[in-house]
Amino acid sequence: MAKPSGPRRLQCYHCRHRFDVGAQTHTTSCPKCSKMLLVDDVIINTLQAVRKIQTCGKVVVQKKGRVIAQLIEAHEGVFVEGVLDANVISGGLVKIGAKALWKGDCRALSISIELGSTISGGYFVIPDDELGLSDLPRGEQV
Amino acid sequence: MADPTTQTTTVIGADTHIKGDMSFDSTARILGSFEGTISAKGELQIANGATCKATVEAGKVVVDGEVDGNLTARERVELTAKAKMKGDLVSARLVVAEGASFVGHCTVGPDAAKGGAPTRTDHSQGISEPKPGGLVQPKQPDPTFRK
Repeated sequence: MAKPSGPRRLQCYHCRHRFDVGAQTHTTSCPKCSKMLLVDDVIINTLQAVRKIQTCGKVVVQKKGRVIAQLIEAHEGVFVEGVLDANVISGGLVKIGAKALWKGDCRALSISIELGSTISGGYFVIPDDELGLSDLPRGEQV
Repeated sequence: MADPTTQTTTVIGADTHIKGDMSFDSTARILGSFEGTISAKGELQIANGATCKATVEAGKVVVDGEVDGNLTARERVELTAKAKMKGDLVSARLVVAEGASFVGHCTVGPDAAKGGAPTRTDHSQGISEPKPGGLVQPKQPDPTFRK
């Protein structure tokens, strides 16, 4: 598989500063606020009960994954096939799979919901232009 | 395929504006604009370019235009890529195409439509952009906790 090349544009999820990094970067620190940033995708295939998941990449909750969090922020998209109980901010597509169970609010640029998913009462704002993430690269579908 | 002689479709034309209550048993297609309440056993289609400022209760709803109001479907709601929906949505099943716009509460599941209107939650302290550098404060220690 060809390795990705060229710079990748990121936005710091702490201070919202934008900057470029190399295509193969896994983690970096923001040049403005110096805080650590995760660039890699977060793949969840077990139970994860955490306070926050923040990444400049994607968050993928696989079929057997279950995530309970206060906040999930993923600048390239959130893809749910399992169970998600969290408030979600996404700079890309939020895809809720056919067997997914979603509980929580959602702010994203776009959403795709497949037939058969279960959603319990969350507040959705799609597209949310106030996020300021609209011109970042979109996550590819998984 | 359904027999066209047995199925009736009510069409509200593109140059038609209706205010009031509407109820039907089979299928209705809105091409113009509608304001009020809609109660239906069958299917409601809101075409591309149509606007519907209404509280809708129907069996199946397909949105290709604009809806401003609460929407309850016993069977299924479909938002196409060009759909714009503003209001609370309750349905047994939901399909949203990428590109659709949706602002409101969403309750979807086999039991959702049986319960009627969605239970409102207080979103005054709901989702918000995280403050720069703002980690969530840890909870206060439980005073009953003994070391």
